[in-house]
Amino acid sequence: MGVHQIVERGLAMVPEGRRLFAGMTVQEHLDLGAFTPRARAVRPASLARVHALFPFLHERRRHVVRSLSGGQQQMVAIGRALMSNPRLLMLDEPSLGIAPRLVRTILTALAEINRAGVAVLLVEQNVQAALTLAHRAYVLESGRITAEGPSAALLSDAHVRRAYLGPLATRA
Amino acid sequence: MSALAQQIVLGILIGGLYGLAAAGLSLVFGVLKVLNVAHGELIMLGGYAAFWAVALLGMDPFGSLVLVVPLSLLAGVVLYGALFGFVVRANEETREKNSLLIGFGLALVLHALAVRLWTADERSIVTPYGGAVITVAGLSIPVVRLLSLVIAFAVIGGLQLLLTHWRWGKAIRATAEDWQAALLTGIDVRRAYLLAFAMGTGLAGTAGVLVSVGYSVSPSIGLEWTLKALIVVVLAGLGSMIGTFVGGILLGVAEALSAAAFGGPYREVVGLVIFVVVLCARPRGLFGR
Repeated sequence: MGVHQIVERGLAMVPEGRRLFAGMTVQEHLDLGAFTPRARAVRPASLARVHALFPFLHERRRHVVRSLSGGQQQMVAIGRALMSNPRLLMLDEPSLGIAPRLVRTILTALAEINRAGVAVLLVEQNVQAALTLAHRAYVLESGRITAEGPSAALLSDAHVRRAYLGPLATRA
Repeated sequence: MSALAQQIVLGILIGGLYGLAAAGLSLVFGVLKVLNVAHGELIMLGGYAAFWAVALLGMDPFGSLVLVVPLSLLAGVVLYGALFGFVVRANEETREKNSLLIGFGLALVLHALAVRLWTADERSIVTPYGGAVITVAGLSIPVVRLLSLVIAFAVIGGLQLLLTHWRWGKAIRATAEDWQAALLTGIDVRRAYLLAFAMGTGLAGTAGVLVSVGYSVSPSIGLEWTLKALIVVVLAGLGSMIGTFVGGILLGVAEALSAAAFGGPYREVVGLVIFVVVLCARPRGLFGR
């Protein structure tokens, strides 16, 4: 099965480093996001949803993505993935190299996407943020799962707190 | 002075064809990362197709585009399926090397085939309006060549519109920028490759028609045109079709100027000098990203 067929079946991925098409505009990214037949059929609805989620993408629709900041580009990448109308959205390190304020915007958006009925699989080094956001979490160390369970349980797990959340979090 | 101006006018006229020849090469290289060194031979075949359409079917030379363009698009599909479709499965470095080998092989085969079928003679299309000349401010402009320039510009403009507005045109540009990201976006990248290659062959066919109408065609013109196209691609850079067209005209004018300054035999040298200078000074080309 080709990758485009996997996308057609409802799996979308936001790759690490965003991987945008540098010379193309914000709107062109969203147009391309709805490339598969299933996505094209609901394109206007998807576009409205993405614009509601990130109004920025509407304001800057004619801008070439090269001119945007890292966080803004991440919104384009997520918007592009959402335009394929996915059932499962996978994100690889969406907070990497992005201003903290925009990290919050993006994580809030992910929660909203999830509430709208899209399953979200997030790979994230920002453990505090990931655990606050997710329903269920897995801790990977050197490629092995060393802890798993409901996020709330992991947040209070002594090992996880010591290893990932730092001494301040342990004392709190 | 007016002799120089006349040379420059002729340089602009042939430069448009350089631009058109380069557009196909640039599209294929930019999207597939495959350097098709048989591009000039495809132009040669387009030229012969036009020649025979005029000689055997009595078509108008420019009218033969209606026949030659679909044929060359089809030839592109066949060539991609038979030869280049295998190359694009390799990683990018292997792609470039293997595509060079395949391209040279294809060029040799097509050249030999053309000699065998149509002899090594130079042929040009004779038309009733072939000798017509417009005189503007003391400069004579051959009508056929002017028409060729206009057609070349229209084709490049149309191509630019396709790439910016057509769904698959955007997909082709996305594939050129980052094929893996294009895959993740749901684009069938193989299909984008096929389309880009066929369009590249179609552009070569179109250029071939215009070459045989305004100039002449023989089995050996292939290498010459591949070289011109390559120089223009290096000069203009990848990513803009209009830029490529302008690059072609710049090369045509530069050749005319050097022929005027140093004499006819040095006409070809200036292109190669430009090639080296641009690679040293601005490897991305004048309009490249």
